Amino acid sequence: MKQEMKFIVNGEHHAVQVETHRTLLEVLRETLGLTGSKEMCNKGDCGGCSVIMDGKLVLSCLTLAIEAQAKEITTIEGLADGNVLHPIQQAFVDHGAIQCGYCSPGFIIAAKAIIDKTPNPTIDEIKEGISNHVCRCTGYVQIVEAIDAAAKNMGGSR
Amino acid sequence: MQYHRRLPKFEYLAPKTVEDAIAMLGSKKGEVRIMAGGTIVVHQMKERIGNRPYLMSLKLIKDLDYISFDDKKGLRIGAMASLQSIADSSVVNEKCSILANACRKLYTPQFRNMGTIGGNLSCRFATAGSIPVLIALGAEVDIVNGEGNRTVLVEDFYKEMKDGELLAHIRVPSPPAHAKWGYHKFAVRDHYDFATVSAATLINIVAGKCTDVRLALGGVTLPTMRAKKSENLLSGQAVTDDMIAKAAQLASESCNLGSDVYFSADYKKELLKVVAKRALKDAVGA
Repeated sequence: MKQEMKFIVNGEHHAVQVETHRTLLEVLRETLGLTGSKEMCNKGDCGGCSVIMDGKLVLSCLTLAIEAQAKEITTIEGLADGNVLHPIQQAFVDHGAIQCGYCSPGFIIAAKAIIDKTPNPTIDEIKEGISNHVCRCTGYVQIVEAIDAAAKNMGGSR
Repeated sequence: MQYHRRLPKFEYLAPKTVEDAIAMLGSKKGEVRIMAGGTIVVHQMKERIGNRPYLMSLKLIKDLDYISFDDKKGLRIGAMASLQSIADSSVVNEKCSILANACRKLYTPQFRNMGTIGGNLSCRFATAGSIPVLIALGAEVDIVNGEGNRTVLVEDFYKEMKDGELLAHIRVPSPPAHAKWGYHKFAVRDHYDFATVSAATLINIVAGKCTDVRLALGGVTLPTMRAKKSENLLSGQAVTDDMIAKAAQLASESCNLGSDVYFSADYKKELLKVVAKRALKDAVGA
């Protein structure tokens, strides 16, 4: 059965009809066309579907879409300002923290959640903050370096 | 086991109060599955495990998402409080730092943000991370059903809670003023993985002798989580390295656990001995 749901994604208000058995990830990708958040393991192991919901980092593959009712969501699409990359995205590019790129949206959203909560994270805090994420190409050294550099670049600001 | 990428169809129920939830459970006996944070339930639904026609989400019950403290009664935590909110709570950090500390070490940011303390308990997995700490603290839970409330110890919860009932609140008594605690876990990867084994302990030492001691184990079968034999051994004794080693040995001998894909049961018992020893040593500062 479909229910109407209203929520805010990357600052835009949306009203969509969703079936109760749809996950937030499915609705973001298939209904709204926001394919930045990735479906990989689809069971919470890889972090590729991570989004920020009401300020908290969550897994959209394990969230029912209807439970995002009235929530405010930030996906990877909401970070860049037009053609200007977000400092975290730029840091990932500069540090070679991207290879195939499939895990990057998840990592970058997690990095944003880390820096939002702890503007000057330690290396251990960064590692803990990305502990739900899996990258099978580059390894994690460049990713941790990129997040560290981004945090320093952003000067403790959001 | 086949993993389906899509959820099966179900009827979604979203009560706003505990009373409504109990009424729904009563009118659709045996047909309702309860969901708290969803990290376990949504996953299992995709595995087609334990599915029922109705899924009842507790997320709209605001009365179950709180953390409060009272000098006499201690901490009270709503079943829907997220693990992260407990880890971050200033009152939990101040009054019961072992609980905040243990919650901080559970899983990943995403699972802590989504996962709730009530859900972690209700899944009744041997590996549910919050159980050993709550047992060590002597915590109790309020179970609600159509007839009313009852309060049971966390260590008895696995056999007390029946289908159609709801875990509503968790009560954590304040530890004695000078009680010391220790918590250790072993996981393949520090954060992401469930603890293969873990141990939590709370010890009160008066005039060099151990007056109250509780030792709880994780990764073992639910009925053997409280290491009563070790507690009896330590109780009334001066806590020496030798006693700690004996207590850890006894804890490891008296629990039940099984092999998993990583480790044999024998190896896990060895691990448990070390983890229990470390938790006890941490507590007494040895």
